[in-house]
Amino acid sequence: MSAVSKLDVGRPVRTGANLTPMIDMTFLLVVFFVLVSRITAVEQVPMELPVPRDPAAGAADEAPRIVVNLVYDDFADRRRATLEQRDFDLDVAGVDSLETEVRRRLLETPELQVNLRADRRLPYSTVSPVLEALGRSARGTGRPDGVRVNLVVIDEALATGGEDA
Amino acid sequence: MSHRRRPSTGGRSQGKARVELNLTPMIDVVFQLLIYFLLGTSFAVGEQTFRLDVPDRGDAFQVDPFELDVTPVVVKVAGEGRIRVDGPWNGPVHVEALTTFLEARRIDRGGLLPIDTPIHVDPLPGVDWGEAVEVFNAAVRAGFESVGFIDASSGANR
Repeated sequence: MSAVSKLDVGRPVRTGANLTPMIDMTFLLVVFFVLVSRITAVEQVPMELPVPRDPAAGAADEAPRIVVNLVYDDFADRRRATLEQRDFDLDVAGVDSLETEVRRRLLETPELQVNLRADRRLPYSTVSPVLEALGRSARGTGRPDGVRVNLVVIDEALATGGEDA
Repeated sequence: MSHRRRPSTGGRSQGKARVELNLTPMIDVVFQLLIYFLLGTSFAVGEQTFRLDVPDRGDAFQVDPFELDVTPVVVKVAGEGRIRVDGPWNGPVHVEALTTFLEARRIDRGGLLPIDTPIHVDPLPGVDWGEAVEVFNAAVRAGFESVGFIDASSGANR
């Protein structure tokens, strides 16, 4: 290995590692994993949301909220509700568990809202018990008006060429 | 960037200044921005919300005895776009006509219904959630402030 500069003849070669690219890549990886892990854990469950014509819905406000997903499956017994990383069956026991979990979170955060993302293919008889359970979860939390539930839909005009759900 | 002129020593290359542009930081910043916008815009692709106040109507539910009893408008949803509006009027049978029908009955449009009249959407159990939301949306578009689902969220507001 040559240790003599061809430009500065007679002077020693200056060696040093440029750490900038490595630091940049590190930050990129950190940002990537932080964001991806949060998305997959909390909100992004693939489903087909309702797409009403000319929806009168608005953008969600910035209040703290939890997201309850109602996931469709061709087999009725595989349909489930998810709240962050927990799955709940959509039978009586599962809906009761969901109610208890939502009540616990309502007690922890007074201004908490619930975003309900329900697959449009689900029958109303599956969604209705969950809505009722969300209402019951306000019991004992000092909310005379009940729980603020945000029904999530897709506005096709806004989803320009985007994903369907 | 290096821009340094060395004294000539007689060689060809040694007499020229070396000018080079280091593009690495710019490319890094561009990738950062690219990732930021990709992630930032993909979360809320067209997602909007209807706000409901879902009350607890269980054992602890108390009816205010002094509250006036307002008769709600019940819209039954039968599926495949078919609806029926209960009441003493000849209502529409298809969801596409519901908004116009309800708008015409608002008190500020010459009708008899105050805009806080409860509109209760009552889907049959087998009706898809998407279709139930379609009817719900039609009632909200008509300008009524208290639209809800009959067995879960009566008294809900927009």
